[in-house]
Amino acid sequence: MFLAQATEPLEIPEVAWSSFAPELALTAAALVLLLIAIAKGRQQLVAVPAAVVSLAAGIWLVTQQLVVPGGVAIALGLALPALVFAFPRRGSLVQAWGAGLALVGALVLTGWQYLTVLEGGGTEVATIVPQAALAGALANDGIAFFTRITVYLTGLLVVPIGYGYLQDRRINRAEVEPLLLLAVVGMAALGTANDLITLFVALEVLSLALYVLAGLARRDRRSQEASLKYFVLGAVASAILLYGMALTYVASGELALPAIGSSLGLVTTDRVVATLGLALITVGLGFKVALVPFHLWTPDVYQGSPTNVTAFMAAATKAAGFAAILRLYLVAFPGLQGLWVPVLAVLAALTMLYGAYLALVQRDLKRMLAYSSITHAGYATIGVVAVSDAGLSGTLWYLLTYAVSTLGAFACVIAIERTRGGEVGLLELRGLGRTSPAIAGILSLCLLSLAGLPPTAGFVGKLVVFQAGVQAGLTWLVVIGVLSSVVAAFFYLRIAGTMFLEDADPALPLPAASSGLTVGTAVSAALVVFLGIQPQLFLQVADSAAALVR
Amino acid sequence: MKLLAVLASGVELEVVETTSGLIGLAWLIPLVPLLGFVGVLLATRALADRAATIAMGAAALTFVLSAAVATTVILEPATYVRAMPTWIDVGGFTVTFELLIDQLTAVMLLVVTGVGLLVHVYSVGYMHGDSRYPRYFGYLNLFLASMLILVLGSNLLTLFLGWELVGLSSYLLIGFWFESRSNAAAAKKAFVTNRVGDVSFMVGMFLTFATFGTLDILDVVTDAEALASGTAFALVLLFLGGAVAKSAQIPLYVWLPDAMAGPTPVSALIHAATMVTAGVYLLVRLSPLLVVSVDAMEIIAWVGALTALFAALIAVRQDGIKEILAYSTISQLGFMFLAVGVGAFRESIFHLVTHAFFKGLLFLVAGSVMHAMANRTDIWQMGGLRKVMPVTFWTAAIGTAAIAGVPPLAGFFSKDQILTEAYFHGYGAIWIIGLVAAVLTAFYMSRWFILIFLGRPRYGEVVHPHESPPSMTVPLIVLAVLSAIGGLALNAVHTGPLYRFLEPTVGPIDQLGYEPVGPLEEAVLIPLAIVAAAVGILLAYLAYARRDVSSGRMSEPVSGVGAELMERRFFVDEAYEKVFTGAGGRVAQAMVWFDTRVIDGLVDGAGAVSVAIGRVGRRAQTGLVRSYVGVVLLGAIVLVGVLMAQVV
Amino acid sequence: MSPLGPLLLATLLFCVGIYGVIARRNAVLVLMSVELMLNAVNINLVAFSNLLFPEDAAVSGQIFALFIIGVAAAEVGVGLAIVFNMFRNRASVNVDDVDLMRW
Repeated sequence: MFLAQATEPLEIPEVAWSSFAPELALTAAALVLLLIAIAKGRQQLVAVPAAVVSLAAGIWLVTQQLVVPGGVAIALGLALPALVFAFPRRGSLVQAWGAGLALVGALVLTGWQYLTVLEGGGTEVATIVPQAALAGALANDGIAFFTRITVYLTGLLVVPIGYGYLQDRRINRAEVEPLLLLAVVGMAALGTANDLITLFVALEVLSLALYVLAGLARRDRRSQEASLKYFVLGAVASAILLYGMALTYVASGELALPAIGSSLGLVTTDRVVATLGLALITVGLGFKVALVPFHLWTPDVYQGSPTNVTAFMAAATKAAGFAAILRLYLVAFPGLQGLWVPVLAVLAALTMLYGAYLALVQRDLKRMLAYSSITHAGYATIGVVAVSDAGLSGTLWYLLTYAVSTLGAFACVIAIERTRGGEVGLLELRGLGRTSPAIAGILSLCLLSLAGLPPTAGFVGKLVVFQAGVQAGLTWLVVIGVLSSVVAAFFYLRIAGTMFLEDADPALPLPAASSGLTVGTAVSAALVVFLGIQPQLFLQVADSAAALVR
Repeated sequence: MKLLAVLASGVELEVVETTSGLIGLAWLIPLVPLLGFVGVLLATRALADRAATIAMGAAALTFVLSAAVATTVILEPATYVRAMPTWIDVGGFTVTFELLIDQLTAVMLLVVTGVGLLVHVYSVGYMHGDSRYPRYFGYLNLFLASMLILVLGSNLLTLFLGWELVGLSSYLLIGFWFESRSNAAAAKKAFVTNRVGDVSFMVGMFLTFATFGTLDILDVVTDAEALASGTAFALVLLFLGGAVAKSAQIPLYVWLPDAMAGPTPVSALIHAATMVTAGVYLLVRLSPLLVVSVDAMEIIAWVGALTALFAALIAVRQDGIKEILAYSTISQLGFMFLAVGVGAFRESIFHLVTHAFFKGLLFLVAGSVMHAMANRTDIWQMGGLRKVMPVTFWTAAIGTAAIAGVPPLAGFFSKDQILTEAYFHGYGAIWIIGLVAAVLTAFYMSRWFILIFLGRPRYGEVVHPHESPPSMTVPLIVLAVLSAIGGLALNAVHTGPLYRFLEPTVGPIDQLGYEPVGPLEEAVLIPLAIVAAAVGILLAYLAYARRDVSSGRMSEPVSGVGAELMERRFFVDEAYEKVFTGAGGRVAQAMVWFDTRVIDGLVDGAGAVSVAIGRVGRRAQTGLVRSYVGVVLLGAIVLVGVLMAQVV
Repeated sequence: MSPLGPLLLATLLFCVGIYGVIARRNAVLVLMSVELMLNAVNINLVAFSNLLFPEDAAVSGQIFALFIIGVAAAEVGVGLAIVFNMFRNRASVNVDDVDLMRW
């Protein structure tokens, strides 16, 4: 009835497929992996046709001058049957390797997109529209690229880190990897979303996948509790966010973020409705990235979820959530800057202090890291409220450093948890520095990075964000940030101290890392050091990211 | 490439950017010990005792390199900049690993690597047989590398990198014998206190960048002149905050005495000769910035003077062989801060160098004594060691005389020049405090010396003291020689070689308009300082050598409230314990309480009413999910309210 | 038609939904309350798209509502699965029973 008002037939927008090539590849991979899981025992029945399709698509792409995407498709098409025939009886290995390779492919595609956009003059420019693709629904700007890098990298590390752990707990069911891939797609899409609909759908895709992943250990009451709490609170937050979006639409009449931005910049728009929308959106997104006082779900959900899922949530969700926040506030709400900057700044201050203080009194390691993740959301927000190129790239870069550090820390928790079972408290860590120096050393390294001590990634992360804050005249906020990082240093230090300065309990079994865990942990630790000493490579990308947004 | 930078004084600074020659190899100086650290730690098991050789080799190599670089600077004085790769470059914020090598750096390089090498050699004997022998040497190398990064960094951020790494490695070394809980606690205290200073330092850096648009030290000091004195005041105080923590000054000195829990050579290296002087180095490095704000300098002078006096008072009544030296270190660092504050930057560095010699020596002596006495530390249970440990005795005598200010030993020149400058720059009160502290220094060090080495043995039959092995006595002798002639050779007269050598690196004080306190000339002031030393020594002689001290503490000549206060260190540690850890803990507890009670209670749908009705039993089963939703909602309402209030 | 009517209706529905989430202990009812909130949003979108922006050929508000309906269905699916799993483990769908992890 309402549709009848559209007097002209709807125009089908031109779809620039390559502008979301990595997500396409991942979605396809998720589907194939799911089908393989369903076709239990007859994997080749799915794998062979899928491989044929992939190969054909790859060859066609190559003939279309799209060598890189074609190459990725061909490589994945070849890898799939190889995997299936290599591990005929071990479906979970096929899943893990499949997901890992798909993520590598996605990273390659992201690099290709990034270079193509940066070059600007190449023949493929037409296929990747930097600012808007799919009728403006997606923005392939710097935020999108950097979020993709962070999220795909996180996914790529989580797969091997979690593999052995899931086996041990006997919860390595076939849906794990497909769900993980879908969550990754949702996160990347959230970083790319340029209108409210895309933003909402991406948010739900990642949230729904995570609700299920949190409850992966079906018989574990804690996991189940995490899942329920996350779901109920997440659903409410989504509804509030949606209401905010609806009000924004009412105020501006637009759904595309840049259009909202220019509409809200006009004097004629209804500032009251727009402000109400802004407030509700702040609540919804603040919930997703766990800003105080919308953070309450975080400790419970992080503690209860399977640890590899926690690691993924902590590292990747935050990156995606902040990507959405950055684009929403900087692109859609610059007109209301005078309103949201002080509010977000106060929330950031609260978040930094609250998380740090609450972490001080925790005994469970996962819960402590959960509170630490709350603190880090506060630091990342400093870059947002700086409202500058430096702040934008600072936040993106901060989230990358946070992601690798927190991944490394959780990986060590997994190694400890595997042999000691159940909760890992401070007491279980006593003397770990003597009994297994490698794990204790890497855990300390990651904690030092989270505390922001040089020469680790976390230090450069904090430095760049604080720097942006000072440049934007938010010295008071930066001072609070520095203070909270001192408080935070206490509890990170307490963990390190417990491991190195206390005697081991001989009754405790030694932690053990599976091969995947070893690789994942080592890569995270290496990244923590590398990004600390030689941050330039990624900082440049983050810096050019800022340029791409405008 | 040669550039000229014009300092505020009009002094033209010759800046030479080079990657060739010996300066070009300067990047190896911190790298060699760093590689030593990595190598030793990676192969702890395989190396076993050979780890010491590797670590010592690294220390020796870096000493040779440092000496070569320093020689270049001495022969061709200039400010050298060794270009290095970029570290961070984002949005107009650029930091490189560039090295800054000027006269000040050269002096620091020699002190750090020289004392560092001696401590490595000494440790071979001292730590022999320790279960974590290789790891100890790894940590020593890490410390050396960190300190060298700190000294060589051309950028405040690289300096800060070294600053933090130094803190980290000292944490590892203080807590090295973590079997004892108090050692672990001491390590933590040191780390935490230093973090407090780091906050100040970091905020200072941010403000520096906001003011100058760069963190490059050379740029900052050349631009400092144009600064408004208010900004300069704030900047200097912020950096002072960092320096106060690292150099153990009032009010953040409490960690240093506890840090004596570490192995004694570590105390010599970290807590006497190198790390604690980092704060002094930082202030002198930034001296062109300091001179813009005389007010801030006066604060520095007072911090130093009060610390010198206060710590000396405490040292007078301590009983531990290392505790006395720890408080003495705090006091001597106070002298250096005092010097910086009164504009005597070069005298401050001079004292830093001589102090590294004699305090390093005294700590190593303490180690040697403890080695001989089966790790006893109470000086009342020693005595009469003169005959059994002749080398230790004679070197200790030189060290004590040097710190007490007996001419012509090193401490005499440096301390005297600081006091003279305080007088000539018009700081009468500070000059008097300094003199009093000098008397006290001579007193407590003589007490230390007399009770350990002179008189009759008080250690009973159980202990059989003996002279230490050559690996320990050789460093003692080297440092004793340096303590004896160091002052004479470096800067026997006020405008001696070291003074002139350091000239281009410090801020100009001509325009500060200093006026002397009174008409006294150096010819009067110098004898006055000698008298001060003599009085202190004489008093100690009368109190401890001429009287019977066999009844231990009871034989202290003076008792009463004052003495009691000094003995209990004026209760500062206890007060801090109460205030800081108490407050921090309480805040956290309050927040937990707030979480469990207030938020829960508020939200639990008219919770109070329900209780009144009598559902006490059900109330225990608080619906947490629902209360979370309630908090989110509450937050949303507040947020909406705040935002709407501004537009409606 | 005045925009006031739909606005009031939507606000009322939203509040009822929030009240339901907070007041109800039954997980299924909590789910239904969430649905109420989502549908309040839908009313807003559809009504205002129609009333305020009739010239918008893409009827974007109404399209948004369609997306929400789709996503809401998926959400209920996942939610019911979670509740079902809870019931199998604890023989209860009372959200107040889920309190293993606290401060």
